[in-house]
Amino acid sequence: MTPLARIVSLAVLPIALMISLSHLLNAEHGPGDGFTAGIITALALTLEYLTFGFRDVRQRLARLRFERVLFGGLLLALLAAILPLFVGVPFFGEVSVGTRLPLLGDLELTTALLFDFGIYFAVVGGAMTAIDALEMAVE
Amino acid sequence: LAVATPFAGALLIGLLRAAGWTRAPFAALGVLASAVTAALVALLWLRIPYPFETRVEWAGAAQLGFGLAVDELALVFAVLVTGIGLLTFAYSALFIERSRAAYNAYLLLFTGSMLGVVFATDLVQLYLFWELTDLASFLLIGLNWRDTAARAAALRVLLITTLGGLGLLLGIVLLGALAGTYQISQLNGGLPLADYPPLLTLTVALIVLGAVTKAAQFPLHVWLPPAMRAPTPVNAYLDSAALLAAGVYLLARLQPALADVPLWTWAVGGAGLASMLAGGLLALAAGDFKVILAYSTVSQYGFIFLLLGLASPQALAGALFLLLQHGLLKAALFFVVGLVAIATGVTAAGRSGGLWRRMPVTFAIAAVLAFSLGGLPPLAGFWMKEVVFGSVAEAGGWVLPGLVVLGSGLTLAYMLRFLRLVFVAGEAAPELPRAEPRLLLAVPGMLALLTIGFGLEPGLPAKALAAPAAGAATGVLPRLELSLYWGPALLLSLLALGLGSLGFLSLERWQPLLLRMLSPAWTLDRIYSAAGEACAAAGRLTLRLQNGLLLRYLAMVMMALLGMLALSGAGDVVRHGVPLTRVEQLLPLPGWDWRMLLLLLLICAGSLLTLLLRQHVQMVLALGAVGYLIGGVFALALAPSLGILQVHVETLVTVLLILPLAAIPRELLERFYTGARERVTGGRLLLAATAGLGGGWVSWWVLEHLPAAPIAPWFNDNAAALTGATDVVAAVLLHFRALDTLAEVLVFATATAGVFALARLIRKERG
Repeated sequence: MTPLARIVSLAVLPIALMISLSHLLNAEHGPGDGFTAGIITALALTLEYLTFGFRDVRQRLARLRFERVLFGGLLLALLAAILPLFVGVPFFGEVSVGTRLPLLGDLELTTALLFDFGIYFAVVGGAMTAIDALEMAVE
Repeated sequence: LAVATPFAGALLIGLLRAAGWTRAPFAALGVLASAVTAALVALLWLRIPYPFETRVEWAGAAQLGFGLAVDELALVFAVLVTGIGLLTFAYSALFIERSRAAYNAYLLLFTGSMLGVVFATDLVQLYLFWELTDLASFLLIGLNWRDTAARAAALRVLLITTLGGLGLLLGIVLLGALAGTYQISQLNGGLPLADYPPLLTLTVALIVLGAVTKAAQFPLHVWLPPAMRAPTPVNAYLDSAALLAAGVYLLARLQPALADVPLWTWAVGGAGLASMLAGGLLALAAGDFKVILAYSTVSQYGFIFLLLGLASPQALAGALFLLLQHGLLKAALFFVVGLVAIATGVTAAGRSGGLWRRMPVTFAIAAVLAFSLGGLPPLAGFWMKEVVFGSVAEAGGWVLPGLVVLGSGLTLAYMLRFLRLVFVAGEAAPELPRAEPRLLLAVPGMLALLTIGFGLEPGLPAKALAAPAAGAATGVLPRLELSLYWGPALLLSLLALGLGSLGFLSLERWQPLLLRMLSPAWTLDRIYSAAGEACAAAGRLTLRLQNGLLLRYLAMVMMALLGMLALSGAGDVVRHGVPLTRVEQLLPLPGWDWRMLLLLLLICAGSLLTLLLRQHVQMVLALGAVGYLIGGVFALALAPSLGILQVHVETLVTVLLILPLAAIPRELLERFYTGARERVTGGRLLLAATAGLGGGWVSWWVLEHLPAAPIAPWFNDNAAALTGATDVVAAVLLHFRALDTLAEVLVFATATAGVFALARLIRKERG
């Protein structure tokens, strides 16, 4: 790939991650949610694959196992569903810890947010696992 | 806490093993954990006021709860499970020099799940732990996984007990629907069951099926004898005392709620009778020591089921009394067989002649145990039979007592034969056994002393455990009379003893006849293997259907879909004519203007272009373009979330589609592009046309059948108030339909796993 494309794709990655994060944190008050955010992140990573080559990127991210990200996401989502049980709220009930995070403004830490993060990681992990697997098979 | 301890122990062992500690004192850990568990149960029994119940409703809508319920009935089983469990751990710590991590972990897992079954407050919770015991027993029986027979036995256990478990689950769901609750204490609290006899009968049939498979009752006992490939302590624990007892617990627990159904007596009692007789006869014919004991277990549980089938508080107390005594005796007998195997290496009849002279203490212990199970006074087993005869004589008639006499006669006969086979008959044992392992003898010896003690003072276990437990289950405290008096019970007992001795003495004369008679009994095994064959045939059929031709899969899916559509749609058209009205009302969609029209035209053009293009990459790109355009439609139709998502997903899918295309060898593609076009046959054209038209029809039909009161406004109105989310889509995804979202993510993960496995397969094939 041309140097220009490489620079662009490098610049895109943090922006995409920021957009994902804003989708996640703002899920309840605007378009987009964990699923969309996950797809965006997966797309950004795929772009890296395309510009820098699969091997190169994979080597750099050797410690990042996307299967684990997928399972971690699933566990997180399950946890969000089960956690309310411990404080006497039904399965999938909503529990919120009303803190305001600095810099990010009004934000409630809720189990719904945890759930959305779980979905995000599951989607990123799943999509990238599929792409990795296909790449490996193709090579 | 009692339930959690064994699980924690299992987890700890697993973690240590995973951390690479191969030489850790796993056996000691196992003993420790089970001792703590036993102590906790004892504490529960002696110190804490019961019955008590704690319960958390975790799925309110489905009325599912999770929690603990402790009463006398549960405690009887808990004492049995932890008591025998502790002995098993102690014995196996000595038995297997360096007992393995997995072994101890699985055994603890089993203890924990049994306690979970016993203390469950909710039927669904009970089912969960019930299946966990299946899993644990599968792991334990298949422990020696290098042994093919052990693997087959483990698989058989899993298949048969899980089948029973599925029946049980169905039964539980039906029962819950009929009674309106899954909470066990409410079921038995005199809640009126819905008055619908056929369904109730079906429920009982399914639940009894579950119990029968678990307790290895005829005709589903076929999993028990092969399971004897497991290590002997495992058999002592699982197959005598604990695993089978789960079936008894289920029935004892539900007896007050379900015993009024006429089927109950017939199904439970009938299974018991059949097992009592079949198990007895099979035990007389078997040659392997452990298999004899296994069939004897089948027949002894037959007695217990018979009493459960009689469905009176009295009989229930008797059944529990039998269960406890049998648990002690059978575990001890398994320990003895294990000892013989250690000392001489002999596990089946024929090579252990004259062993009683070399292992006198072992022989004495075994004799006490066997006589006790056979029902000789003054041992505890005598009272077992006495209890059965008492209940049966009360039930009246001649046939039932007659059969029971026959069954206990068989018991005595096969126990005597067991003694002779193990210690007397056959060629002299080839190698001299070393000195009798004293420490190991202590475990069965203790149990033998216990059976003598209970024989002299039978009221102790009966009054302390069995009667109050039956009282707790049924609400009526039964009187369990255990004193020697001249009555029908004693008469029947003597009759049975006489018959048993006679049968044993004349065994040589009629055993050939028995063997010939029993050969059809193996058809049960044959049915099991036939079922396996059928599954294999189905597998071959699947292989033929799924031959890797994508086109054929597509055709089959489409045809099935169209078939269903035709069935449902045709009737609709006949009844109502072609509907047009609603679509006309809907036509002015939100955002309906020239931009929308342009987008739709472009989508049509893109689709046509996809058909006309010849290079695969071009096709994929054209499809991607169509996807983007659809995203545009969503955006115009005031569904921005969907629009954004559509564009992103489309991009990713395009990449995913192009990736494998790159893997197709260049020559192959060239040949495809330059060669003759794929033939367009009439059949394919027809299929494609009908599929397209069918899809269109579905959209049309759905639009026509929109519910009169759409649900969307409710979501729009209530989302912000109920969930605090101003974005309705998020409110639905994360709150109202969170469970659906979770399920969808699971589907996504499963699909990913499929891709992963396929890709790995391809890599492997390429080498």
